[in-house]
Amino acid sequence: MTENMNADRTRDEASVRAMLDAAGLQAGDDAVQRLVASHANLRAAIEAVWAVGETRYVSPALIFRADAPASEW
Amino acid sequence: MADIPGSVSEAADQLRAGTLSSVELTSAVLQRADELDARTGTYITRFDEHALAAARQADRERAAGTDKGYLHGIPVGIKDLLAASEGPTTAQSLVLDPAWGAGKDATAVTRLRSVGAVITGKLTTMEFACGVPDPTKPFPVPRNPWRLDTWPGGSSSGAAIGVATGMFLASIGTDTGGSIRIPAAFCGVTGLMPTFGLVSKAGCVPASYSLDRVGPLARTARDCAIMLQALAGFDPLDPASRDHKVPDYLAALSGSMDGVRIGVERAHHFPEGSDPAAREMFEQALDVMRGMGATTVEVTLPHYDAAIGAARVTGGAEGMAYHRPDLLTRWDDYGPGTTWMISRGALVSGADYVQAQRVRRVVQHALRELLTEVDLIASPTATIAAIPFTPDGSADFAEAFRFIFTQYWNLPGNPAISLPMGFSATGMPLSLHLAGRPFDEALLLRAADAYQRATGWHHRLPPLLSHQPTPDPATESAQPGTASESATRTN
Repeated sequence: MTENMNADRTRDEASVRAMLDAAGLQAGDDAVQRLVASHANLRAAIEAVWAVGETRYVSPALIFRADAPASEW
Repeated sequence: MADIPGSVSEAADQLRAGTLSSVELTSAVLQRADELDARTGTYITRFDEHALAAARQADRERAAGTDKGYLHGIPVGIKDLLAASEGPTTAQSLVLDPAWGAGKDATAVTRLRSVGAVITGKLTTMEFACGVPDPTKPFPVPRNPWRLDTWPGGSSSGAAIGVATGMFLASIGTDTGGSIRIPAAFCGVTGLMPTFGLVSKAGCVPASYSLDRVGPLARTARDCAIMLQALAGFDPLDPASRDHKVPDYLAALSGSMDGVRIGVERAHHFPEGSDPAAREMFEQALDVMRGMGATTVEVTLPHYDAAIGAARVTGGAEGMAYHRPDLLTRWDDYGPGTTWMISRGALVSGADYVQAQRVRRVVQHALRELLTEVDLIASPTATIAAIPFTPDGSADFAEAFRFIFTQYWNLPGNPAISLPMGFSATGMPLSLHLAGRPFDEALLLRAADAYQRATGWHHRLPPLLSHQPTPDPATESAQPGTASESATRTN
């Protein structure tokens, strides 16, 4: 059990460091450890969105208008 | 302390009757801020001179026979995420470029001014509406007026504190995962998250482009209706804005719940560790609504865990997109709670984000079905009262959010309102949450207003206003509603 938890944490830390690096973020150790500590929850959230079978043939709610507004605020 | 009308509606009646001037009212709320702001951390920037000038203008217009409506001459505060021409927008952060929005009004602010509202200043939030209170940064730490050693809820913290204490009569907040409804709940006021696209976000610093809403906080649902009437409507400057006919929200406030079918959600809303008073108060609230003609039926919110997951993926990715340029160069200028929240967005993939938008669509379809069987869905806003600050000025927010149930409704775009339903055993506010169909704020407000006509929880005031000691958990009665028994409709 403990070995599995340690393995998960090691894997989480490697993932977090790799993804932060890919994004170009220079997070300190404290920040990395906070992200690692919460990574299991984030992974669960991501798994939850992929677990919804009804999404299989549903279009995503990504909306834009071809006639884009001429200006932003 | 000077008497201040207890609601926008009451103040408007007095202004119209000529028994109160806007200058008198504005002076009184500014004096209240003089007395309480340093202790409660409500304002980031006050616009006293501008506010008094606007109040004088309102009085002149009224004297000349012009009546711009209920908000004419009424003091309103603005969360410091929205631009107002009087001063800079900070988002309670060292990072936001002071030039952003300088000299301009957000559309929501423009609309309030157009109906004569008096803008009193910019209000505290959590950094970029997603961090945590951070005493190491040069901004006020907002505190709950019901008990100063507790969190007022966020991120529209100052917006709720100021309404609860009479520093203004209504305010504008934003809500990405509960940021209007949570502080409304914890501070004992009413907060409305409008349908996505109903109120313009132009001129508002984004937290998450597709989850953010701009909406009102006020003492009553009726006041929220007054505010929404001014705020709602199409804005070409906001790509998310919908050209939807805006109904007469006040006309919908019939005082009746006859025929209203309320779905009652309990499945996800009473985890172990919930405050027992939350269940008791919730059941009492349902009894009140049934007594007024509503019918209730048990329902379960569809795809609950997936919707929460999708909201987190969406908020993370969109927040990361906005902040990445500053995170690359100014990481240490952010608070650690903010960098934690935002940088989680680097840990989700593009495909995860798109899949979250497919979940959003599925949830919308399922809710549309459910909301043919019922008209509204009721739950507690949270099953805990405000949480205490820790000695380092922080709090256990991760634990607290196990008992807060607002985030689900940001994903599909539906409107929701949080309104007082009683008190915890320690005298802290608890809150009822009602959600409805997209663009059907009229029904949502009608139900909330009817509930408030039958109850008095929303008129209770923090002990801070009556010079009573803050509640002591060791001595407080377990009876709900014991806090500030001297409270009246006057702030």
